[in-house]
Amino acid sequence: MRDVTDDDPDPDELREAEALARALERGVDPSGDLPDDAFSAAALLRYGTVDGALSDERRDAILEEVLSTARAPRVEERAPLLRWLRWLVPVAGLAGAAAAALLVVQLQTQVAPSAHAELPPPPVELLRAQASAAGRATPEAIAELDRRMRGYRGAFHGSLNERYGR
Amino acid sequence: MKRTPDLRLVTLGLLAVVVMGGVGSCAAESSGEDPARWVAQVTDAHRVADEAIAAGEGEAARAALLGAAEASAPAGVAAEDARVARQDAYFRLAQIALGDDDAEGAERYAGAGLGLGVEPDVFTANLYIARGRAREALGRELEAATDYHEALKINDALLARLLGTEREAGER
Repeated sequence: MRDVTDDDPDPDELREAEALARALERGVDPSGDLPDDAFSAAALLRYGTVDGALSDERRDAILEEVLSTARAPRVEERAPLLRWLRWLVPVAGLAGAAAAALLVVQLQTQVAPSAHAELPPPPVELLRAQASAAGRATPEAIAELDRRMRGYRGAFHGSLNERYGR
Repeated sequence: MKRTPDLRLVTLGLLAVVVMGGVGSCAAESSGEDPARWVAQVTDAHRVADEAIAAGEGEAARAALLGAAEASAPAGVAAEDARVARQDAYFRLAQIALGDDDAEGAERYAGAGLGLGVEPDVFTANLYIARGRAREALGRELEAATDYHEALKINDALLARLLGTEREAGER
């Protein structure tokens, strides 16, 4: 145990005194050398000024120091993810709406009348002309097929008009 | 803290307009026309082609028929009817091409028509005949023979059905 009558400070005491001085001056103990009780005492002394209030200059200086040394908030780290999420919701909603609209259009196409216009039965003369053209595609056979198809086409268009015409 | 106007919201709004415009045009393309109007367009195309061919205007005939062949029918038209109408137009286009000694063009048109679907009807059989003629003109006799054979099979089935119907009508 140290002798209290010893006037020469040892290194520990010197360190604590320096820390106390800094605490009195700056109100912080970055070194961590100041024991808690001394730091508390220094804080009391520090703020034991008139009305216990900081001067404007002192307050600004402390604030400036705190802000410069404070760790930056993690907002920046989360920002890209948050920004991406903020995009994702409306874009996903828009894509979903577009997909739903396309599905409705496709369904409308698919629910077109399943029953089609009744094709008129092909006349035997047409089938004969067709068989001739398939067997031997002479110019005459082709011309006959064209002629018979003109008549059949008219009948087919008639059936379309019956089904879809006004 | 003041928030500046968000350009991202503006971009989203523009994107919405583009997407909805695309959807709207898709909808318009498939269902915007009245089926009766579509029927009129189909019949008009053949009428115009007939008049153009009679006047020796092959290009005009081709243009009219190409419109009928490539146009998609509105949603109110049954798929089978749309197929048949388009196949008939492709058949006529192939015939015109063969008349112009354009065998490759004829094969292309006939192939496009057959690509819409193969059914045992007059229109499919016609397309096989047209493609057979085109392939024969191109010197591909084996392929031509195959197409002619397919046409004859359909033709035979149609004739059997017709004769069966006539037989039933005769028995009543």
